[in-house]
Amino acid sequence: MNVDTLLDGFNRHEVAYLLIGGMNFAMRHAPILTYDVDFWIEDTTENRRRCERALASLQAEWGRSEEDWQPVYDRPPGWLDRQSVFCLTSPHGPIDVFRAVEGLTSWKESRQRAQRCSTTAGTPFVSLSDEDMLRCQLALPESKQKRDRIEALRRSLEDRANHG
Amino acid sequence: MQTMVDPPDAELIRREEEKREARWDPAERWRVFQETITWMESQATVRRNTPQRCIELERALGVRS
Repeated sequence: MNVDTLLDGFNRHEVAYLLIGGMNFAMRHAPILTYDVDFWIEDTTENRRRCERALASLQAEWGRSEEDWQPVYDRPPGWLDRQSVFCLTSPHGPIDVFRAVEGLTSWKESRQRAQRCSTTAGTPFVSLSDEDMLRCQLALPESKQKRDRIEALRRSLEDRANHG
Repeated sequence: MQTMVDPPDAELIRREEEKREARWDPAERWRVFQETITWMESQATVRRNTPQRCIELERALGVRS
């Protein structure tokens, strides 16, 4: 998976997004096994259209069912309106697009807390804050929570509180 | 225009993941796994024992050659 290519596609099409999930944690804290890239997009009509164009440019594929699976390039605009999450394939790696995220109430508020980061290759991305990553984990049922991530995030937040 | 949808429930996420699993070519999946590991290795958060990092640690510990 070339994460730079995926981020670059979203950046070039000016999608308002936050990188979330395992890849975001791995980029900010510690390596973990993760094989998809999760984006939380601002849920406006215009932004969903931008996201559709970005996904088409990345040769992503999705379907309402297995039989309906096809390149999103061939879909008429508006297909991202139909549900709150989409799991897609692409030649650059799997992509998850979320329109809403459990535990987080406002994309705009999370965007204000987010950090602008970049990959080693210099590709910029907007990263969900540690506070919000922790909120996401704590919103999960206890059996699904990742204890190591929660501890790392708590340590990071404590360090920041202690050292400014 | 801002719209409001509820966060996806676990069942919807499971269905989406299963659909993708079914449509993801195994050879392609293996290629992506290998690429991901290579890409993660290249990221600053993952690299630990680079020559530069060792020199910095040595300096911090006051080690002299």
